[in-house]
Amino acid sequence: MDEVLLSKIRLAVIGQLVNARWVTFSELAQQIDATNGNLSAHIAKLVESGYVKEEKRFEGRRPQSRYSLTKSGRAALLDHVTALQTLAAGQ
Amino acid sequence: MESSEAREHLSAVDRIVAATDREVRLPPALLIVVGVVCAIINGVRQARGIGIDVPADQYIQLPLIALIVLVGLVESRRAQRARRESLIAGYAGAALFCAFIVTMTLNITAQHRLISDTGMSVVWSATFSMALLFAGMMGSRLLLAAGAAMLACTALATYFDTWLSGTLAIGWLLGFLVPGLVLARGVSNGRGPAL
Repeated sequence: MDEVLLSKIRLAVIGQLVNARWVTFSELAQQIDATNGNLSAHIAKLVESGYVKEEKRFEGRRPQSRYSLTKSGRAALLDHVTALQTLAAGQ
Repeated sequence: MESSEAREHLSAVDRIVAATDREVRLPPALLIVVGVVCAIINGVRQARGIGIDVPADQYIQLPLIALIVLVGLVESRRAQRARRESLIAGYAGAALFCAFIVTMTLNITAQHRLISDTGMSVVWSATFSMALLFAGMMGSRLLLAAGAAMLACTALATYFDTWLSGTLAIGWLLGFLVPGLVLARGVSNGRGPAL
């Protein structure tokens, strides 16, 4: 079981990114039920683990952060889901 | 972790993955412009074929193709400002771009030597209907139907000597203009959650 993905918020972030090329922070904040500060901390953990790639840029004059899933993040999600399925099947 | 908690986490992942980025969303403006421009190009050829006096192709095609490029650039800029971009939208865009590159290469190299003007029009329609079918299969019933309609028009056109270009023009309208108009109205075009 992947310790990083045990958090429901981090799992939700990975879920949001799995079929996306990239997603902005504001979009993640809108989709996931968490405060901006809390979400920021969880995303930082995912970035630190190498599961999520962060790209900072300016959109007009406003700074914007957008995120994409890395190969190791995708592999970690698959492994984690397999582990969850095994656990869930064990009743 | 308890098994009940594991099931809860699994269902949360299922819900998110089933609900996000399942639809291919192409820019409606680009679909509309491509449909109208290509229908005009084929329509002009059809008009010439039935004896109507129309300007030479180069006077019509160059500004219209420049219009497609301009709208393509604007839409690509707009896509960069979006809040998210799905993988399948990227693949669908790549399929259409490849269709353009392949056909344009043939247009430059083989037209007039191996393929006639009319034959090349059929190649353009066939290649783009294939790209639409590909995009549709990934996640858009609308584009799938549009690709099928365009392919049907392309196949049908080859049986009409006199009305070939006109039938191809109808194919471009059905393949690009119609889905563009539907998407511009904000109607969902995808398969919906598949899980």
